[in-house]
Amino acid sequence: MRFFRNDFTFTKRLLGWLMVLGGVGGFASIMVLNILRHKPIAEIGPAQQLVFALCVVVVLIGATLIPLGNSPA
Amino acid sequence: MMPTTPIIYTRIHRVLMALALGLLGFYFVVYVVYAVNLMQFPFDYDQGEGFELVDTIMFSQGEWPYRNTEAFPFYSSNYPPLFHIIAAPLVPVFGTNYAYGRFLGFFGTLVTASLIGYAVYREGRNRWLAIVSGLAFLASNTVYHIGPLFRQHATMVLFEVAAVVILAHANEITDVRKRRWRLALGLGLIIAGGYTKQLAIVTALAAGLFLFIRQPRRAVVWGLMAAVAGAAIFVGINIVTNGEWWRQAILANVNELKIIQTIALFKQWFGLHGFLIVPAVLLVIYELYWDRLSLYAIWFVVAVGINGAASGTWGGGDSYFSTAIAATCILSGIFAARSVAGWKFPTNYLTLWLVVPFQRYRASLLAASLVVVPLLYLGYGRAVLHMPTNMPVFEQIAGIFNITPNAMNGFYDSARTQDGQYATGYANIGHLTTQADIDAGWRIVELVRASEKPVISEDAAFTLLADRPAITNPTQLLNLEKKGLYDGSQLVQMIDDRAFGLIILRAQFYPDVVLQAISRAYTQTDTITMNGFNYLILEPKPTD
Repeated sequence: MRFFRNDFTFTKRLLGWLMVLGGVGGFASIMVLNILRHKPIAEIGPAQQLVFALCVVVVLIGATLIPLGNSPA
Repeated sequence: MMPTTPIIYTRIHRVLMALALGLLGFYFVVYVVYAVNLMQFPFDYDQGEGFELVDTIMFSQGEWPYRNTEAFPFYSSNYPPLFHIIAAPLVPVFGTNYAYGRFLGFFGTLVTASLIGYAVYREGRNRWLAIVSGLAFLASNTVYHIGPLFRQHATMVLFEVAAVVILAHANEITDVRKRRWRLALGLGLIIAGGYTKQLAIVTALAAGLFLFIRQPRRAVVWGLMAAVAGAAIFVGINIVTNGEWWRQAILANVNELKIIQTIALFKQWFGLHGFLIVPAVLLVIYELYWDRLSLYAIWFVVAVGINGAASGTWGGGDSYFSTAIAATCILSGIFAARSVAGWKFPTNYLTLWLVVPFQRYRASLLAASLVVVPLLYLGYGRAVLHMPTNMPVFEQIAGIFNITPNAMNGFYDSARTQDGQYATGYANIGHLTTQADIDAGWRIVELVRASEKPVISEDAAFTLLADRPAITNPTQLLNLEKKGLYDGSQLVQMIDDRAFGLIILRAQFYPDVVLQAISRAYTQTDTITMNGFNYLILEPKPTD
């Protein structure tokens, strides 16, 4: 597996995609949790709002890393 | 080729750097004065310090402090053992004394500051900025007031910083044997940090992430080995303490988060350290887009995010930012060194948008950096202003700069408003103790000595110095109660039976059932003020 080769290292592109996926995944997870708990959108507390904001930042950073291609992360 | 800067900027830079060095050097003197003062103070200075001494004494006697809190003396520790094990050999030499534990904490911060300076020098080759970065760590209001305490936090930060400095360039070592030693030492120090205080988990996460990004295979192999070593110690302690390690140090230690406290402490952290946080963040951005991510950058982000959030937990506080402050000092130092030497931007789409348009101003920007960099440290020095105002020399300095005290015993602390208000969770310490405090403490000890029955004291010092056993660890009982892990019937029964000659309360951090029993069976007979806190002396009520 290439991932476990001695010369494998993360590229900016790969890190960028992982951040985009992580941010979207984090956002979606909180929404799903709230739906499972039957919590209306209006009841999203300050801690969750903070995490939402963080997810958006992570997605934005990830998206801007993708064009940097194969530069090592 | 690097542009040349006019000599005038170099001279201004040197003058301003000398001023910054002088200002941060002044805080170092304040720090030493504070540390020496605390080492001479025989009682608890910070809430719960005495129980760290109890743990240390227990280890020196070959006993574990993780115990069943339902049975007499109702005592257990909730902290990992390493700091107390390090201090334990000093117990037979110095006895029941806070001085050596406080010295260990203080000395640890000096080593940490030296490591920060070394890290900055290794990356930036600028001796003065390396020294200033190390001093900046010690000048932080948070590091200043927790450094010389008999507590494990400063020693944990020492292990974390040492680990990060050792691991930061481990991947580049081509000699396999040397690299393996470096990785083993770095990861060993992280385990040591974790067994000093649980918060070191952030450094473990950061190091794992860094190694994984650089080379996943190496990260997985070494991560597994470190996990096995850490887990073996964990299981071993749990077996020899009959599961109390898990119950007392892990289960009871997961506390609720008060988001208001987290936000207040984040604001305060930025207000005090913002002059260094901004350059640190800029270096993280530079590494993200134009260089490789360093361990320092990943550590900074993880420590700020996780420890910063956790600072809002019950039992948390501003000390939780110490690791982030160490990372801030390293990153801002490297940023400063690169700023005065000149930045290099590899070509990419962001360089074309953000750097190339300003290329023609490069010489001016470099000249400006020579002025701005020392100003950052001067600004930081102003932001973290803290000093006693009622001692010789300090009194004159306070008079010249019109600094009036806003904390106990004539102390000024910029983390507080002028009328003494401070963010929730910020430790109400940093002031110097007085002879009156020491006299008040001995008065309480005499009361304990005069009691024929055992004594419960919320501060362990009074019973320890009276050669009586420490009974209960209030905050730990409260931790257990909050988790639904506390019954307390035996302690409550003893209180109802007036089995204790005295009960000494300070913050009343006991579970409700215990406080209710105390109010049923005991009555306040005296109040003794020590170190700014009122100690309530309670004696048994007459039986009906």
